[in-house]
Amino acid sequence: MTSPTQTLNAAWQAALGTEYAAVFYYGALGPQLADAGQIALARTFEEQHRELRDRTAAALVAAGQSPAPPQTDYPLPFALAGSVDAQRLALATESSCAAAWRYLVTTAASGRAPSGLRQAASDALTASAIRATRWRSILHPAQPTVPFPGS
Amino acid sequence: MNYPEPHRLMSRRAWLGSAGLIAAAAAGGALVALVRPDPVSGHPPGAPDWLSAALAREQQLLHGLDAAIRADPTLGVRLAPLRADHTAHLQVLQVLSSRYGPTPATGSGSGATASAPASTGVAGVRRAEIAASRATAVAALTAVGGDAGLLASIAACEATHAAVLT
Repeated sequence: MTSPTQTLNAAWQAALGTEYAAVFYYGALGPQLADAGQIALARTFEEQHRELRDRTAAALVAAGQSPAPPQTDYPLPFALAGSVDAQRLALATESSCAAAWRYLVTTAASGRAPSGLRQAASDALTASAIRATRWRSILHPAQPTVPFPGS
Repeated sequence: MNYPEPHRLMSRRAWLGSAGLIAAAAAGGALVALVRPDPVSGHPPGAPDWLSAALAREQQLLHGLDAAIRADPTLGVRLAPLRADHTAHLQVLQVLSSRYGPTPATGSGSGATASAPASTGVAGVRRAEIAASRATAVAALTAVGGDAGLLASIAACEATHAAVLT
């Protein structure tokens, strides 16, 4: 049976894993974007994920955990054949990150968690939701938001 | 920063597996929040303090949006998605409230934005969304289990509303 601590640590490592993946996917999708504004957006968001990845790994170490290493590769969920595919991948990436951080909020609120972890997870969820909204505004301008980010 | 060439697929199955796990975990959290009792929270006999405040905030945001649209009907298309989101929030919170028995009175809970000025135009709606997002995020720090995830998600949504109104 999985203990609450094991569940929390698994959720925490999963959140780190989505940040590894996000950095990788932004690196893959960036060259597919044609619009200068979108390229700048992708670079900014990639850097934000890079910083969050490093903060998350450092927090795990501070809590006595060993951050799981990144995978050697992150397969693309679909072929990138142009700008729209790149935008779709960016949106999917942010949605996955939001789901992982929301789950960490839930698990951190279900037992003993290091001080500040729930706040950090909530902040990361919001940040990913806002980034997702930027991509959704491009892909689906009539419906740029979702009611429950991370669901 | 230069973007590298896209990497070749190595293990599509691995990615789909991890994505599936995340989705399942998130869905599990949502189900805990929406459908069945949260075993961690233990269903206290009374509704938690944050619930009435959250209900009041959503109702107030809806009123603010309606007022803004009445004042300027051209805003209707732009604000309709936001209104739909808040309606969804209100419905979920009402379901949650029903788990605790009598529906709490709305508008009296701590953290409500009852004293906030009435929304005036897009700027007013944006200010109200920011205030609601902050209050809901604070509530997420004290709620238990799936309720905390739900509140954090609602807070995130309200932050996205402010972002699209910038």
